[in-house]
Amino acid sequence: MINRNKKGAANKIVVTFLSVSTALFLSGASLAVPLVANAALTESQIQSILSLLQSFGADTATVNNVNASLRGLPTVPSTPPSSTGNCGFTRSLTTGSTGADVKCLQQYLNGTAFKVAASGAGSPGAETMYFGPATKGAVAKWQAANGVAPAVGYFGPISQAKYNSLVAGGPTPPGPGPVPPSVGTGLQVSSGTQPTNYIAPESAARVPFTVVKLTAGTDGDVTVNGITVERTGPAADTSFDGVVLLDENMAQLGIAKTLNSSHQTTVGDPFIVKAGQTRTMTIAANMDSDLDGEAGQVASFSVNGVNTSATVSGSLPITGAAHTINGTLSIGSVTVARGSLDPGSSQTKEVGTIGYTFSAVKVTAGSAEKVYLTHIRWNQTGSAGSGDLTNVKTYVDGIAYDTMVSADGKYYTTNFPGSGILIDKGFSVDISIKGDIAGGSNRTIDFDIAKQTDIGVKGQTFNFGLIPPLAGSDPTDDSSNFSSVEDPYYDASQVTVSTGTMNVSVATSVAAQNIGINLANQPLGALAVDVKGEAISVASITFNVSLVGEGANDDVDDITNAIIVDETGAVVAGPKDGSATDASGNEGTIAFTDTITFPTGVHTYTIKGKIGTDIDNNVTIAASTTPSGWGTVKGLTTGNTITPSPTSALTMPRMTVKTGALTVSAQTTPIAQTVIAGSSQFEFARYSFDAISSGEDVRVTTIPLAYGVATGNATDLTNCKLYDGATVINSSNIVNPTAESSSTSFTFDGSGLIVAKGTSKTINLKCDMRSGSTGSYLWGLDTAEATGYTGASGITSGQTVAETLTESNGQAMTASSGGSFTAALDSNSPTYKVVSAGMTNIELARIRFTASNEDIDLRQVALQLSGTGSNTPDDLINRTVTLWTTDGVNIGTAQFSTTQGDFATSSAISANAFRIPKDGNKVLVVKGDMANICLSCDATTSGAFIKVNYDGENTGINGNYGTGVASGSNISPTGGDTSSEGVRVFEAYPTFAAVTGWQPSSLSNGDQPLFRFSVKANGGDVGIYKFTIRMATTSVDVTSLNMFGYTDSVFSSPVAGVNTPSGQLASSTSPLNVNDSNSDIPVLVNDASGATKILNVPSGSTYYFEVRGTVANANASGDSVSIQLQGDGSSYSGPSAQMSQAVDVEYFVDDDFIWTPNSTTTVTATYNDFTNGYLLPGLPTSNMNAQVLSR
Amino acid sequence: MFQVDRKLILTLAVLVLALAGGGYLAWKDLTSRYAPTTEKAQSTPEIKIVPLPSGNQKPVPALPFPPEIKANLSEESKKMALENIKMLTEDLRQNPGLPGHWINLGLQRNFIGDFEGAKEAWEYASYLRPDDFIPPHNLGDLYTYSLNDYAKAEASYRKSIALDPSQLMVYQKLHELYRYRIKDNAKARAILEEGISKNPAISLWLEKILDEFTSSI
Repeated sequence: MINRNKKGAANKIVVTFLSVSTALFLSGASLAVPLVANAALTESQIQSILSLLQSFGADTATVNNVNASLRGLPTVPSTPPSSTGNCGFTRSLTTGSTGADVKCLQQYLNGTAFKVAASGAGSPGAETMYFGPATKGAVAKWQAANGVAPAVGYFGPISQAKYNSLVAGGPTPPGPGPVPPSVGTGLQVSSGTQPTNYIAPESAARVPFTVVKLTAGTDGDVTVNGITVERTGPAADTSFDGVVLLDENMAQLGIAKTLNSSHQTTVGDPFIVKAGQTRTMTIAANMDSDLDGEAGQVASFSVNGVNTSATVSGSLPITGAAHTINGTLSIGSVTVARGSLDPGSSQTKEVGTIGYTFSAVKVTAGSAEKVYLTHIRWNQTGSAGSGDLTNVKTYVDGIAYDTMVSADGKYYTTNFPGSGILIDKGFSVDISIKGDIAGGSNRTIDFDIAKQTDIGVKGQTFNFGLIPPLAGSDPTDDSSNFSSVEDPYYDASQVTVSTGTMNVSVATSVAAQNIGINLANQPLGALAVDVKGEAISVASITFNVSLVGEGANDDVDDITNAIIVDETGAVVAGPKDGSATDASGNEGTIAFTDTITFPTGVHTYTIKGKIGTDIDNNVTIAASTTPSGWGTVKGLTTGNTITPSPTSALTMPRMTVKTGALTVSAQTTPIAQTVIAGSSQFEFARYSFDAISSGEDVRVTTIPLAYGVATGNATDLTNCKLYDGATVINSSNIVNPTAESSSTSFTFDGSGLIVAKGTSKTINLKCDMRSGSTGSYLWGLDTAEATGYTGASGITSGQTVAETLTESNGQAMTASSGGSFTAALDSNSPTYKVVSAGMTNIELARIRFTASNEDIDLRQVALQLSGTGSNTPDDLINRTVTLWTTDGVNIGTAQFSTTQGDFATSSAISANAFRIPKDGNKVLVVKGDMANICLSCDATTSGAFIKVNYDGENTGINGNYGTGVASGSNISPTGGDTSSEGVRVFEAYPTFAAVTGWQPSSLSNGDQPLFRFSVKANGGDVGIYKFTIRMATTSVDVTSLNMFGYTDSVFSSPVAGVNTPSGQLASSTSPLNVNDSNSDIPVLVNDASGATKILNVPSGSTYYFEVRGTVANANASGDSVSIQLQGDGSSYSGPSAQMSQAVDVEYFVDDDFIWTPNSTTTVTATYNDFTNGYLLPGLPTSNMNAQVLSR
Repeated sequence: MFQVDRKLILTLAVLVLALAGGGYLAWKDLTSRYAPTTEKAQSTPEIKIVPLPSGNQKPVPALPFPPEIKANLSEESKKMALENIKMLTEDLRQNPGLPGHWINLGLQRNFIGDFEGAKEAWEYASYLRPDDFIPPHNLGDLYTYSLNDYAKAEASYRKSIALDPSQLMVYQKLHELYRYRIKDNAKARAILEEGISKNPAISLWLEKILDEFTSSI
């Protein structure tokens, strides 16, 4: 500490003398003697003594004892009388923790001045294993006394380090736990950014004058106990009501201080400057309400000293702004009153009360300016701890704001966001504090407001802080009124927390299950006990017990050694035996008469017992209890009687008594199959170990399995292992059979295979098969082996359990030298279709490969072109096709090379690129790019009918072959040539579509459209030579039937160059047999002279066509005309080519639509570039759907 | 007196010539990318200037030869591809308005692994013949299987379907794009259903795929 003031130096001398004397007195054996409190010392004197002691290097315990002594508190023995020595804490302890370490902590605390409880549970000699509110409170006090911050009752690493430093022997063992923060030795003080010189008006609060920066050295944290300031400048002290210290958030530390005769005072509560960090503090002043006499004076505040045990460096004094005292400016003001939500009177509330408003105030802005509500600090002066309250928030006009709780749990502060909550002139806000009561029976809750400045307000216009006014009188205590004095400024009504509660339910942690016979600690059920407010003791609990399915000797009496255990396994009641209450013995009770203390919180208690041998297999047991009937239930804090709920009986799940049992069986999978000789770890059998009907968990150490060799040698199988999932469970006893045997014994690793009661396990048996094996092998089970089998025992009882081995020969696994596979056309291979030249990845065929015995990688495939009279390899880009999986992965190519002609062998297919699964299949997709057609191209004519097929005759490593994944052998597939449907390639081709929506609502007589459709040219110009229609009528006559072409979809622009300018295609001389309704009606395109003509549809264009006729006799309902466009049922194939002259196509059996893809530059009917309409898009072989007009 | 350094003059002359030659080559490369050229390509005969198609605004793609063969091909395949590309290049240098040739050139470039070149060729073919569904279809395949740009693949297939809604195989390919590459089963199903609804008379093939798809998920 440094102090530039002479009077301060004198004080220092006096205090030093006193402090050294006291310290010397306290530092000897006299520590054990209670000291008389020195009530005459002020707080600052006490702090000075403590600081001096620290500066002398006194240890913390000594400092704490001096501190306690000076304040009249009990001192702490340096070595607490713990009955257990060092507790050796290995975890943090907090509310709800249970265990022996909690009890040890309570014992330690009870050996100090901070006892958990004076009497009852938690008191010396009655420590419990539960960390409840009482333990928390005691820990908090211990922390505060030992300099552990925050002192909130959480016994974590810092507290444990402090504990270890206090108890004899130190930590056991010493661990790398957190090191308590070291005390800093240096503090640098410097000037901060000072406020601008301004005015200091009447009644302004927290007017900032001087800013100082305090920087701690890097060797440790520095505690600053206060800052000494002096008012300077040509002014009088009467201008100031008080001087305050503000932190970085403009929050006030400590109370307002008045200036002494030397114009000095020390402001602030102790605060910490962290090692290597800087705090910025502001000296501010609260102005007097009448400054008329001081107006015009100029005042400053200088920082003269920093009260700390660290060495202070820097230049003092530091003087900030020089403000001019102002007596005329009217700044804002507020008035305060009880809030509308305030309860108005003291209340008694039960633990568990939710959302209770403890206190409320109203702040009203004056008329001078709008004001901001910046913060509020509530002072909980009741005896309840912060742990008794949850969800505590400040509410302003219904909006919730979080609160920050002080280390001692007594102050709840809310800083409102931004500049604060703006209150308009003349308006008010209601501020309340609300929370849940979670504990604290018999304690009080009292949310006062200690100081005027705990309600933070400032003016919006002038930005000066405002101080709410005092009331006119000091009210009755706890009456919800403001006071004429502070501490408290607002004296709120109290809440007294009443008796705790206990609610019991059936715990889900112990479900219905099998329980063993003659075994201790078999679960009979569990209860969840929810205790609130205070720990509760219960003197007796009775369970009613019923047996179902019992025999003559089965009685409740046969349930013995019943106990109640808590979550840690500690026995809290019992043992007690069952007692039958009826003649048959199937009803009875288990009555526990030990007093059980139930701590607060939800805890589970399990009832266990031993089931006597008189109780038969499959008997069920159910226990129930009625909590409201429990005996002598009292709250440990209040001493009041409590009635647990519910008042109805709680019945726990029914347990089934079972003897130990195990059934082993061989499953029917894997099925009998072929195994490739040389395979490694092939699964031969799958066994089920079933303890579903067992009353206890079963341990299996060995199992005799039946090994059969139908053909071959027993030694063909080696390295036989049992697997639990992926884990080998007989690794220390891997079996290599030498002979077939019904009792080939497998020994499990370690302590054996554990099968939990009520469950079953599946175990897989896998062996290697020698290369060259040719036999057939089985793994099963022999029932007879159960006799004398002792490999299964109960884990709890240790007794051999009765087991059943289900007879099974197992499935025959037959050795094979290698796999096989076949090839065939897949059912999803594409059907015939027309495609455009120039398209990529046209799907040509799907070939399905099916493998047997093992997975097979297809390594090469041979293909061939079929129907070679209708195609050449040049129809494919570079004579190549590509090979794919069905999910679109390219795995290779195959080229119909000039040397192989119409045959192709694929490129090598990588291993695993096309793996055919054993006993499954995989489909190979063959695709090709269609070469464009032109006179200079490889493909010079349309109509190529490309069929790519699997070449079944070409097998071996130069053709089709695969590799067995297990055997590694090359395998040739079987299967003949496939026969895909192929694709027809055209330079261009038409697509058809029906035109709908044009039809009239009713057929009428006269000339009219009867059918409409469109033709689009794809890939190039398309020439049309002939259409064919078919007509059916009902009771009407149609004459002058013809077809008309248009270039637009509204049928208004006739095509040019045809028979008539109106777009009529056929001449009147065309052989239209209109009277034969079942006959095809050809529509040959004619020119004006009636000669045949090719109607050209330009590439990408769509032409529209209409069948028209003159209708007569359409008079009655149902009279109709039906027209359809005919498709062709088979693909045209000429005598020497796929395309012929138009007239040649007319002689083909299917000649309904004749067209040309314009593959040549010359478009005449006599060029060999015509074909029929087989399966053109939109024109099915079954004809385009008829359009029907009806009367 | 100023002394002429003959070595310096010679060096400067060589430098000027090199710069001029480099600039010429750069100019030549630029012109070959954006307009038909009268320059004689390697191994190609002298050709005449032919005007661009009427109204043409899209620059004619470059027609370099010989191309770089990036795919792993047999010697026979290389020879075939080079001969075809040479023929197509010569024709297109004389007349770049042949959409069929551009399609074929795209096929050949795709074959040799020149995917960017194939893209340029098919995009130009689509420009020349905007109503033709084939170039966008081929671009869809290219983006799906070679360039792995599934968004563009989807857009290309969609354009192809818009141009000719009767092309069932384009629906199938878009279905496979959604199913195997994008892994969006909802879209994979929807596109099949769209194809079926637009082609009720010929939709059997798509219905078969839809059945198989439905049973597989």
